[in-house]
This record gives sequence, structure tokens and C-alpha cells, in this order.
Amino acid sequence: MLQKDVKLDNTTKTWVLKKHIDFLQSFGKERHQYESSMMEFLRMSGMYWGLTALYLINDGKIPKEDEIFEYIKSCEHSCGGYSPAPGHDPHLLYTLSAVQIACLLNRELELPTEKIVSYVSKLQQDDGSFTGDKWGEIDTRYSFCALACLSLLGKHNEINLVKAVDFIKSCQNFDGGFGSRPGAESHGGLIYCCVGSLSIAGRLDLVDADTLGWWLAERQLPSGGLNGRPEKLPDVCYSWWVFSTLNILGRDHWIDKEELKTFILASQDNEGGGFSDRPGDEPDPFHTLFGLAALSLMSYDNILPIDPTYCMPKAVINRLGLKPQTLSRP
Amino acid sequence: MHNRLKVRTTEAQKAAADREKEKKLQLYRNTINDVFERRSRNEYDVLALKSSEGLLRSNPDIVTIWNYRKEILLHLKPSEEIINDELYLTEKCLQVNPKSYSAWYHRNWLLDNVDPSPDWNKELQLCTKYLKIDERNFHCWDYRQIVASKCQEPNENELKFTMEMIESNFSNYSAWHYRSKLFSAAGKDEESTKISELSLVESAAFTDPSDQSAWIYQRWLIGKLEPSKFIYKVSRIKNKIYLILNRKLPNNYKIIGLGETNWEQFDSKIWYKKLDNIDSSKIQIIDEVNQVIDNLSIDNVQQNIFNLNISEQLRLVLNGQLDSLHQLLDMEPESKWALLTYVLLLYTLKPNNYFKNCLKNIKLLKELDSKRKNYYHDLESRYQIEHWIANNNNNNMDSVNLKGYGLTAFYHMHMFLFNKNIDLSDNDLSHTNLNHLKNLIMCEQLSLKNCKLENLDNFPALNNLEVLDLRENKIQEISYKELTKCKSLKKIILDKKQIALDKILECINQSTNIEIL
Repeated sequence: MLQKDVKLDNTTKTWVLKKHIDFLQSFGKERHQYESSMMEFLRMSGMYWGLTALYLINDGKIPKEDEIFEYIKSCEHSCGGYSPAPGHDPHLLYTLSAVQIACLLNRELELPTEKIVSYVSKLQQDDGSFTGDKWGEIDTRYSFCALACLSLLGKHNEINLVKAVDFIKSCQNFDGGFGSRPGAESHGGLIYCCVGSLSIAGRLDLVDADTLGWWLAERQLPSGGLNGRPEKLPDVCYSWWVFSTLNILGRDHWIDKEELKTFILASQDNEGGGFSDRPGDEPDPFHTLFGLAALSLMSYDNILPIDPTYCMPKAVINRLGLKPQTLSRP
Repeated sequence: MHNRLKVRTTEAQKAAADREKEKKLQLYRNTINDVFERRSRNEYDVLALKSSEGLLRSNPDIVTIWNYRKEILLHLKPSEEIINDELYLTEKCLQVNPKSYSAWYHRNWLLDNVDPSPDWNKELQLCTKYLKIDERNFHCWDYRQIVASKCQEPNENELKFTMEMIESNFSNYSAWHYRSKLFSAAGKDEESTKISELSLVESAAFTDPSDQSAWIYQRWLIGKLEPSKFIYKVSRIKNKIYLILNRKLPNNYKIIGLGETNWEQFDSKIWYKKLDNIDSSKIQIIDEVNQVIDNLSIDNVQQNIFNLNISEQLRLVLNGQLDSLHQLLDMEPESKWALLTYVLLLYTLKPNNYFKNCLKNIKLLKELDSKRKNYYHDLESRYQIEHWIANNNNNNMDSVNLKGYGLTAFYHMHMFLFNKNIDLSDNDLSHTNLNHLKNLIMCEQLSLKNCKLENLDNFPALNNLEVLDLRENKIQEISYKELTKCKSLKKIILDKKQIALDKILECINQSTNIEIL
């Protein structure tokens, strides 16, 4: 069987910092109106990706802060949740993004904390899991959203943490990884959500770090890129999901970082800036954040340091006084 | 955007594309505004359902539109025809985006909350159909588990299905995963299952030795074997008794013996209690039905602590696999997966000369699979330390000599809790390993000479440490301040190359001397 992977051409791509800044700043402008409208159902997250990425490479500076904060307010609902865009329904995914953006702007105290806490804690089920909204879809992504969102507001003791942790534990698989629900297959993104939740809850003792760390290390393909499951193609976003998890588990030395860097840099758009899922594809803010964030964990260039649990600038996490748990090397 | 190739376009092409985009954008805005207006007017009828269909067919991820449909459906008490239309819509949407979380969930929700007589068997067939088209779609695999439990599909049938999928392509990791879940759920006779799975996985792995799915599953089957023992050592320190385990105790297990005071946890693998009336000299570990799992007398050591519990029958099968792997490696000496599995099996079965053989092959793995060479370094370190423990009776007065093993990682350091003299010199460590030394609570003399250390961050507070050898490292002067945590430290041994002595002296306690050798 041929291994699924991509081939990088031998020319090393130069690092186009200035173009990445231009690319990120162009969102919200005329030129991206089409994409922005078609993607409005996830716009709040889109803004979190773009603004966090910009923060990392633009000396922590974010333009139009007031406008952005106004946008968040325009997506606030009376229940305490946030929608991706005005007119859409509130959801845990966008509630986390709204809180993350407010933290980036150092304006989280202006949010209605009590209401957000009430919205999030009502979504917790008897088994400790969380639904994404009132319609009942359960997923470990939402466990992470709930824990991250509330801990950023200093309120994660307002939910049943013991049960939240029990639920995540029930999603653990034979390979040491985690899936979206009990029984579901391990997947790089969901592993990040589960390990991230346990890091916030200070319960990384529940992870079999050697078994999972090895499985994650096996996600690195000959191209240097990481995939999210066995026998799948590499993708820049797994450079974050998989690599940050390895970092949290104190095992990021189990892959070849230089080759990962090469893969991420090859996925830059050298003309217009930004990163795509893999070399040669269209760039977008989602892959731009996760590419830059992974490079940040590897201390590339002058990218500001990122926190592996929250995927937010370390300076912001420190300012909030948060100390998510990480494991040391074996 | 996933999988969207960037294409070069001419100015004319670009202008045409922009016009096309503008048209689409207008249509999108008109439609979504129309739908939102209907919603704000509380329109819960078939027309409202129709109005948003096109929107979802072109973009199935707009959750709010699905929510509106849910409101309408709950309101309508819909006919069978409407329900079927709705199911059909989700199918169409899944053809557009087979990974649409919201389309999958809408289908599930509909059958759970609206359909008065959901046909879960038909759903199972649908899953089968989809998985034949896209064999790794985890949304569909996950949905299948929900469906199978709804229609109470026997585990046997589901196992048969995974088998069909694996037979058509061994590389189906999703199917292997599902098997692991089905076995755990069935609580099947572990031994016979393990043996039959081992033979299945062997034929899969041998068919395509470069595919990792089967090998990972096999590693799990081998790794499930656990050591038969729990207790490594029981010993007294002053007025306390410490119990050292080789792994965490399951929640429903208990420690009994040596008086009435309770055992308390010091660390996940270290327990202690106050010394009181000793009613027996034995410690026992019992399970939930009070069966004795392991026992040891005080001041004793269990050297064979890492030996695994393997039945004769299983040993026979595993030995067979070891032989087959040997043959495979003769034909394909560069098969990394075969080589790694060979090492794991050698270490599990421990035949004559296994240790030398393991080390030799780990060295090969580091070359063959250089991306993960640090993983193999750490694995080797674990094997080295376990081998030392298994071959030394490690009385408390003995020194631990792990000098020059090329260690990159510390495993089982808690097993040296009682030792006073520990030599870890000539290894390849980093400051990020150092906090594993925290359990060396009785250690008085510690050597970290020539360990490639660059700083002492994470150096733990070792209260009994008196002499610390740090020669031949390039440690930043400022990080010597970490050592002030060690209250009994009398002497640090350095060499002449560590020149900025005055800076170091500024960072350490006045009661600590520096000796230059």
C-alpha cells in the first residue's frame, strides 16, 4: 500500500511574515466579503482564529479593538450564550470564541460573567458531558469549550468538574486517545479537546502519556507533516492539535520538529500570505492560526509564545493567572 | 478550507469568477434573510421548511437553519412523508459534506424526537452503505454505534461487519478500533479473544507490513498483559512504613496489614502509614472480593516485579509470532513496524539473550525511523532502568549505579526512594527530566556528573541531599538558586571549567560548600 502523504518540492519556502500580517488584516475588508458572508455561521470563531494569529506575529497588537468588541456584544443573547453572527443562534463553540476574543482585548470583565456561567453550566448533562446548545448534541469538543470558557472567566468550579472529567475518561480508547463520545474513534482534534480539558482540570494523571504520546508521534509522515488519524493525509491544523497535545504531555521531542517546521512553512502562501491545509491549497485564517501557533511552540522566528492548552497567547493566559497543567518529560 | 487547490487565474477569469461570486452572494443573502424573517414571524409550516432547503443543500453546516427546521418539525407533528423528506434532505446534505456534524446530528435528532416509529434497522443499512463508500468516515462510524445500540444489533453481527471491512482493506483503523470497543463491551473471555485477535492481526500485518493500523492494534493486544505483581518494596523510615508499587492501584483494590492505622497516598505509586502495633509482618493487596492479589513482608524486595502474567497457551501463540516476525525481518529487514513489534515481543517474553537483542534492534529503529529517534531513546531508557531493577536486589544501603547507560528519560525513580547514594552520571539528560528525582527522598549523595544539563530548573527539594556532583555540565550560574530548596546540601562538586564561581556562590546557601575537582 502506498502511504498517504504529500511530496514537498525541494525549494525551501521563505518565511513571509509581512504578507501573513497583510493576509490576516485583510479579513473584514471588502476583498473577503464573499467568504465572510458565506462563512458567517462560524464568524465568531473565524475572528478568534484571525485575531489570535495576528496577535502572535504583530507584537500583540490588534486593530479596531472597539469595533471588534461591539461585534461580540451584537452576538450576545439573553440566555448568556453567543452566536457566530447576529441573527444566528447561540452555541457553546461561539461562546468560547467570544470569551477568547474578549480576553485578547483585555476586556473580559465587561462581559456578563454570571449569565455566561449560567448558560454553560445548564448545558452540562447528568453524565458530566456537555451539549453544544439546547438541541442536545453531545461531543467532547463541547467539554473543552465549557472548561476553557469558564476557566478563562475564573469560574470553572461552577460546573461539576468531577463528572466532566469522568465523562472525558469514558471516551478514552485502546490507543490511549480520545473520541467525540464514549466508543468513538480517536482523532487528533478530539484528543486535543480531551487532553486540554484534563489539563485545565489538573487531571492529566488520567492520561496514559506514553501510549498516547507514541500514537501521536506516529502521526508524523515522511513529509514532516502530521495527520489526525492513521493512514490519513497530513494537514497543518494537526500541527497544532497533535503537536500541542504532545507538548502538554511532555513528549513533543518524540517527533522531528525541524521536519514539521519545513512542512508548515511549505504550506504558506508566498504570494498573498496565510497558510493552507497543505502545500498548494488556498490559505485561510483557520490554518493560518494553527500553523503559526505550532511554529510558536517551536519558538520560530519572533512569533510570540502561545499556551498549548488554550491556544491563546501565553501573555494573556499569564495575565489571567491561569496555570494549566502540563506533564514533564519522562 | 480543506482540500481546495489554489489555481492561477487570468484577469478575465478572475473578473468572471467575481461576477459569479456576486450572484451567489446575492442569492445567499436573499434566501437567508427570507428564512430569518419567516422565523421571526413564527412561521412553522411546510412552506417555511421548503424555503431553507436550498440553503442547506449548498451549505449543510449552517446550524441555525437546522435549528429552525427542528422548531418547525416539533410544531407540525409531521406526516410520514414530511419525515421521509427530511431524512432525504439530510442524505443529500451528507453527500455535499459527509463530515457535516450538523447534518449527522439533525438526522439522529429527527429519529429520536420526531419520527414516531424510527426504522433503526434501515439506518444501520444506510451506515453500511456509506461506510462502503467512505470506509474511514468517523462521523458515520460513531453514528453507527448509536444506531446499533438503538436496534439492539448483537455484538456478534457488528464484529462480523468490522471483519468484512477489514477483509476488504486491512488498513481500516476505524474498524480495528470498533473491534476493541465491541470486545470490551462484551466482556468476552479475554484469553481466547486475545488469541484469535492476535492471529487475525498477524495475517493483516504480514499482508502489508507498512500499514500501521494492524500493528497498533497488535501493540495494544500485547500491551494489555500486566505484571502479576504490584508491590516492589516495603520498608521503614523512622516512624513510618513506605510501600512502593510498580503501578497505580485500581480504585477498588485495598492495602491491608501492619496494624490498624490507614495507609495514605504519598504519590500515585507510593503509600505510607505511621508505624503502630504491627499485627503481622505482611502487607497484602486485596481486590473488591477480598481476594489476595499480591503480598510482601516488611523489609523485602520483589525483584521480578516487571514479569508479566502470561498463560502457557498465550505464551505459545506469542512465541509463534516472534518466530514469524523473525522470518519477516529476514525478508524485509527495513520494516520498521515488524522490527518494533519484534522488540516489544522480545521484551514481553524475555527469551535467552533477549536484552542484548532488544538493545541491538532499538539501535536499528533509531536509524530506520529517525523522526522518532527520541521516542526510542526514551523506550531504551525505560528498558535499561527496569533491567537494572530486575537484576539488583537493591537493599536500602546499596548504592544505585545507573552510570553511563545513555539514559534520556527517568522511569520508576520512585523505586529508589530508600537509597542514600545514587549515581546517575554520564547520561543524556535535560533539565526537563529533573523533577522525576522528587521521590529520592532519602538520597544523601547524588551524582549528575556529565549529564548534558544546561540548567537546574525543576530540580526538586531533596531534604536529605548532602552532596551533589555536577561536574562536566554547562549549567547557567543563575539556575543554581534552585538548589537552595535542598536544606541539607553541604557540598556541590564542580570542575574548573565552571568558571564563574562567584556568580554561583551568590545563588546558593551560605552553608553549602563548593569543591572543585
